[in-house]
Amino acid sequence: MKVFFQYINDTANLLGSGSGTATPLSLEELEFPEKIFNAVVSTLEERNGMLPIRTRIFREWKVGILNRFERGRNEK
Amino acid sequence: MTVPQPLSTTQVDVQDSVQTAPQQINLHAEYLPNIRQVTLYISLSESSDSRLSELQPEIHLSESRRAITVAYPAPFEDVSETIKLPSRVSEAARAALEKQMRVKRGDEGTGLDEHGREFSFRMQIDASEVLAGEEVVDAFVPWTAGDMSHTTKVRCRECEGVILNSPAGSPSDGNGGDDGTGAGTPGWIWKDLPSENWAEMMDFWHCHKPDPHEGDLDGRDHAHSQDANRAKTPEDPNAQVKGYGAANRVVATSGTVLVDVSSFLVSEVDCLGLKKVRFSRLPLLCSAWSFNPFCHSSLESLISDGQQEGDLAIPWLGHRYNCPRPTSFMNVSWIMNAIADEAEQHGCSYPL
Repeated sequence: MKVFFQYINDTANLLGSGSGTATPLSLEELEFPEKIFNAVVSTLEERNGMLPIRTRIFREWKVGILNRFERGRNEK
Repeated sequence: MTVPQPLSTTQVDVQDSVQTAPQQINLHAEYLPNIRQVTLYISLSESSDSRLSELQPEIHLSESRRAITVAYPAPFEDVSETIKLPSRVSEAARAALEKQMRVKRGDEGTGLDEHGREFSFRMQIDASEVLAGEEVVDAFVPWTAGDMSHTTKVRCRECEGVILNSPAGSPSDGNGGDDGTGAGTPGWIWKDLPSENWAEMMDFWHCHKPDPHEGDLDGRDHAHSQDANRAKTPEDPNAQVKGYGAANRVVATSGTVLVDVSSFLVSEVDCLGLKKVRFSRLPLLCSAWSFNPFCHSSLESLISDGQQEGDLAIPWLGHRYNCPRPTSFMNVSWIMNAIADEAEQHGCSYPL
């Protein structure tokens, strides 16, 4: 599946967790175990480099691909 | 948030549609089922042979309209690449492909840059193709109890040390020895657990819970309260186990492995080579002495909530032995499950 990703340094500001700011409803926060985070980031970057150059970036997003398991299709 | 260095050990599955070898032609197809379209990208990398750079490759749609071959004309006909399309494209795509190629030939490559030339083509999916409809819920979960056998083993992803071995007397590897020599041991029994949020969800699903806690009955004379009272008696060990609600736990019994969407819940006595660290955020370490005495990789778990003393939740960072599913599936499955759980808690659903 196609995944759009970007690196955010100031997540607190983005999620509006500062005092008095409303939390944007369209954003969700998910804490990753470190190993899964590292593995997913490196997979996304690697796949990004495999894409045609014109499709590697979409507006402010980088584009990556993750393989997802689909019962029936991925099974032998 | 800082960006950590990528792990060198990460397993990456090369996609069929993407060629990484240093060739002149790279093909990539994007499947867009909602608009019944396939977009084909052709990337021609800069060649050291300047004659090749000036030539325009030919695009050939196969007879079945399920594959496309891109090849240079003679004398470079050995430089070619074929991609299997994700879906059969329409007959009109054949004509459109030729027409677009002629136009692009005039342009001399729309995506020209220092790396070479890139072209893209859109093709309609054939009307006869039935696209996959709604997906089965949880179809992204790679392992269920049904995928496991009595002799399935679980190993550490890092050092390959065995965490959950085949029961004593079973064949060491699943090489055909199906009706194993298990001396009286029936082997592991695998059972599926429901979603991690099932206990909380019970509050929404039931007007009253089947086995309420003591003091929860508050005089309601529902027909079920008799049953509830019976289950509540201290003699009935099932009352605790069967009880619904966040305070109750699923308990693993020796010989049975419970398969959760991102971990295995096992009885501690069934496991090998694990070290529990008390008061740690990551309470489970691999200490696989038999393979690598220094492994100590953390089978980090963020799911210690539902655990009983004596049970271990081995996250899927522990890896099933001889598993045909790559570890990257497990990572993606973990994310998708986490997103689904998050959505469930917020009372909405995301199409995954």
